[in-house]
Amino acid sequence: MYKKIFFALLLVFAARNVLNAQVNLKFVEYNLPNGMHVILHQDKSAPIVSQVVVYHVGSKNENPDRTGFAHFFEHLMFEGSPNIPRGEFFKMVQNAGGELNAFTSFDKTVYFITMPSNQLELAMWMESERMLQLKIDSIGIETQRGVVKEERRQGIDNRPYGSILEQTFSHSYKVHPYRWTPIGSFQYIDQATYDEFRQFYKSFYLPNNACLVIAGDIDIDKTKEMINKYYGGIPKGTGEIFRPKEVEPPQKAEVRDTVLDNIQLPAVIEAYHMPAQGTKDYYALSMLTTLLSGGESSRLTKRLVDKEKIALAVQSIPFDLEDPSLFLLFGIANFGKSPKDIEASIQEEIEKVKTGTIADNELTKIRNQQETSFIEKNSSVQGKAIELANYHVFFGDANLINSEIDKFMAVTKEDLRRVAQHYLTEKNRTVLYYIPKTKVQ
Amino acid sequence: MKVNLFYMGFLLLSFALSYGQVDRTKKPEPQPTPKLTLPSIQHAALPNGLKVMLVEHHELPTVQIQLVFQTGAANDLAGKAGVANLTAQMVREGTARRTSLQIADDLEFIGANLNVNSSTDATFASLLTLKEQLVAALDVYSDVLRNPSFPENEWNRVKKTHLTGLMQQKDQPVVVANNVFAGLVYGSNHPYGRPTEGTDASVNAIALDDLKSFYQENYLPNTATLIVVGDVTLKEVMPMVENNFGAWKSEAVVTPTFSAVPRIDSTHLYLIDKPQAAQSEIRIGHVGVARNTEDYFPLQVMNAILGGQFTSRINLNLRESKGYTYGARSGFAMRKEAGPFLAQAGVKSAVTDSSVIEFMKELRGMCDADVTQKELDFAKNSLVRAIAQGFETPAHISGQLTNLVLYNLPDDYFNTLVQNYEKVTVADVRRVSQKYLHPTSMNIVIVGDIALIKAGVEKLGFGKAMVLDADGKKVN
Repeated sequence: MYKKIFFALLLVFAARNVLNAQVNLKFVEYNLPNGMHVILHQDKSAPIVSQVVVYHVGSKNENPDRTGFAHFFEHLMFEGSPNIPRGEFFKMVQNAGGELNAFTSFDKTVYFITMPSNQLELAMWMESERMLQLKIDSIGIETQRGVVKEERRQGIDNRPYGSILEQTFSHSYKVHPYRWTPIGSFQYIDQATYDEFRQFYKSFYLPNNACLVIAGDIDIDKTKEMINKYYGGIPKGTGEIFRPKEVEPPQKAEVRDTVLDNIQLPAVIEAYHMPAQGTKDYYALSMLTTLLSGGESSRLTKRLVDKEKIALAVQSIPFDLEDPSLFLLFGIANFGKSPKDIEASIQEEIEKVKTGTIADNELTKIRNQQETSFIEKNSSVQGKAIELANYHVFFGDANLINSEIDKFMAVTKEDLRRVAQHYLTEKNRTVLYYIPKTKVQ
Repeated sequence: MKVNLFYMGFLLLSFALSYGQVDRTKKPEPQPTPKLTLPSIQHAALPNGLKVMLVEHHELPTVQIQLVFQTGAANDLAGKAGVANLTAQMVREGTARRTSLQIADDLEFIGANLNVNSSTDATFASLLTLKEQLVAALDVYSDVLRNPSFPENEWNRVKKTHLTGLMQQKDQPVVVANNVFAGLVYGSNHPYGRPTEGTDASVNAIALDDLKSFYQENYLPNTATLIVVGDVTLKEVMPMVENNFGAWKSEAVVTPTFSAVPRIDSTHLYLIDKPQAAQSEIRIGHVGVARNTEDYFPLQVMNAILGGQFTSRINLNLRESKGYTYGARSGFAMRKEAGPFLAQAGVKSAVTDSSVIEFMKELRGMCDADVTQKELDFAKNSLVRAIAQGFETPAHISGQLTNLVLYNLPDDYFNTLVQNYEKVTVADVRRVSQKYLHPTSMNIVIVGDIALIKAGVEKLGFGKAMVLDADGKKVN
């Protein structure tokens, strides 16, 4: 009797502590006749506006002998058009008090311009100019070739553990183009030619391969008119847009390797194959990463960093990708500790998820963490614009900006256990030890 | 007739709906400048001296809180650099009521984020929470700030981890370049010359009692301002502030002293060897100016032209014209006292000497000739028109208010920004360039592969390079 009441109290406690802050973000969406998808979101809290264009092309659309090409091309998108001379693109935005940038990932290339809201038309003219009639020349190509190579040196070659992404993906994929990363290799950056860039532009930089989002201090009707004016006349592509068809076959045996790096402390990386973003198991694995390493009270951090003190830091990351992806675990060894110690403790914690219990309030905790980060993501107009585009392009449903949280909340303890058992297996993983070069010499 | 009208209407309609009827050769003109509503700041205070500033922001169901104490690592004891930093780490490692893990668990259970850190000038404790959890979040937050217990076992772990982190930093050319540069410009007796994280030696010299003393002397309500931005009103918040911080006792505050900065009369070249480095990290600069300078606005405009933006001279030259780097920039780190002026880039090893030449050319250029009216207008436009973006989210607004607090700026400071930028002239830019840039007495610090770069940079006319290790000590 006593026990029953206690149990009932616990349930009430757990239920009451689930956060219920809701986001209800309104937007309108439609297609232009040329196939470009448009999403508009009004937010008048500050007199600024953000324009985002996502092209559905990334490093996975590259040829294996032209890795880094999509990213290199992204740099050339700032070169100008017949109406915007070379060197003016950045200046026009900056003179208007705006900011602009772009990034390239495995699946997409994203361009964004955030402006004072009275400069929206300028932003639209500029973005539509480079979608319609980008102009590149050999001077721009050669300069950016140098810049891109320095970007690689700065971000990867001259940074401790900088090659982790590249090493992990190249070891984990044998067939699928995720086996190389967006930054690419020097060899192929050197070989890219003008004609190849023109061809790439014609093949992928098409309105029917793009999603345009305008978010911020806008008038919906006037913005629609402006969009017709600047983007409506851009011709639709006629050919089929190339999407890689390769399916990575299931991994049959563990892959294990050692990487030497300019580091002081060894590290271990474990990468398990996992399903693509948006699948039911993807949500469960995302919640699992929070259970394992979301904050100081998470299982791995509590054990490896606080109790055993064998790791300086541990992190688990589910890679959000369009095609089947990787669940990454990463730990840097504390001074005098070996990657073996870290691997053993991680393994024990994974086994505990597979066979042990998860307390009610532990599940509530990771739900609440998920919910806060979901709300935080949507605090700036640029952040919201990127999210809306992403949900449309990769999930076919922009309204997930409001409802995706439900999919995380639907994950049960049983789901967490099941995905751990199913995906976090020895044969499904790649294990890399990062070892200091100096130790080896 | 009716039919005709109908057709005409149809034609007009179809014209209106046709796509892409636009003269693309014309750059669109902006609409009238939108009105920027600056945050309305509400004030309150507790009898113990704790000041409260609040801005209501009801777009998201969150509350952003930042407590600013007016002292930081400048109050580290001699030989014990790192005390402020470690104190900030340790306050969340246990209180009279909670262990380290309970603190983490309580915060993570309600999805709240708490961070405590110190700069040289100040100490910051931030809290981000959903409004519905504000009471619970404040309970942990005030517990951490008011009742830290500095447990021995957590201290052993934190200290060891911190020392390991310092060791790791020596692999990071960016960190090594920044630290060695600061040490050379200010000397190790000046607070700005010491890394706030400390060094191996200084951290090893720190005992738990040092942190306790630092906490007692610096975490004080009478030097602090609590900045609240979010989905709350002052009426709602004040009883909570009173509950959590009302009994906090005020104490006398120790104001840090800053020793004089050693002057140099010519340019000096320093190299730190990083064999097989993929790039050279270049730092060029000297002592700059304090935030309260009367030349703040001309300096902002001047640096926007020189190296503060993507389209500034330095980046357009080294990146967009030469392709030497992924990005090059300059800036004045304005602090309570004069922070450094610094021009910097990571460049391809083979062009290390050429990059230094281009940097020096741009620095001299600002002093030797007037900027054009076009450049001036461009810089002013970009600064003035970007003001609105600085107030977009609660985090932005909180950051803006933090600056008011740190540098003792008036509430109407933001209202005068536009006119202050607009006033700056070509002559002002030339004047502040000559006054605050010293191209003939620079400290040039380069972390890179000495075998590849030394001969080249020693031909630049700055004499022989002095070779230093990652701690800034001379190598023989």
